[in-house]
Amino acid sequence: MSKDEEAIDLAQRHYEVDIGLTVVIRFTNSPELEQDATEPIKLLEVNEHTIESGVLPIHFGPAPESGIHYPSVIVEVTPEEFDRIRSNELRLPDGWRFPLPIPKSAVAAKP
Amino acid sequence: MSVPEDWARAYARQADADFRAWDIYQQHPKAVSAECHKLLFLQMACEKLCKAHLIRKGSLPTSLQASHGYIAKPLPVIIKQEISLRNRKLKNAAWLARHVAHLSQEIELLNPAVQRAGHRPDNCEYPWESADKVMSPLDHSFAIPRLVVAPAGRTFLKLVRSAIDRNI
Repeated sequence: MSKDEEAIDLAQRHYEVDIGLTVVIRFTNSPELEQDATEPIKLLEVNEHTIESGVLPIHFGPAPESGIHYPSVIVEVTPEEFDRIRSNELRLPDGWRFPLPIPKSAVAAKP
Repeated sequence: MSVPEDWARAYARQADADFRAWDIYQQHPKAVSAECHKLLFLQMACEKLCKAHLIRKGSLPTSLQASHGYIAKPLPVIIKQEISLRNRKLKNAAWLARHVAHLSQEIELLNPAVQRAGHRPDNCEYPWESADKVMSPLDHSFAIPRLVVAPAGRTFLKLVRSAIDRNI
């Protein structure tokens, strides 16, 4: 799978696991930097069941045995924090430049 | 010159040692004088695991070392990732994720520095005052020992173990 496909796959896995997850947005850096295998997949996840703590990036290494060949960074926020990100009250980390929402797939939506 | 990866791995190794101590005491309860001591190791293991994941992304080890309250938010995300990497083999993942959030909050509260604005002074290290009485961790009935022996709790512990291993 490509990095783009792995990002979508990872987001769908998170949707399947966490029913509190309402929105996942993948952020990319410049196309040149995203070519670098060490540049992580960056996911902003809005979760109704999480607690407020601002923007707290959590890093994960690759897990090739599970089909994830790139590192990833997850920022999980509450819906209220998401509003503050959209109004620029809260800032995402440097390099989180281009947003691409990843909707929950029909498969993931099954009970 | 050290890099974040060096610090993250060192934190993960400490988490591993703390978790092993917790595990040994689980297997040999009489080796520890009180439940609160055992819980201290679980709390420390979870805190260092979370800090390992934060340091890799650039949080300064020096600023995290003496800070607390870094379990309730990151640990459910870490466990979610751990489940995701094996979710095709794990039943009831969504049900488990809900329990993980509760367990993570309770584990964070074991630290005396975390009191939820004074509402939860109970912790596994120092005495506290409640209703004009001094309470000791030695006498307190903590929720964690009951929660971790439930099915979701046992799976949670395995996932914490697995997440630590992934970081070493």
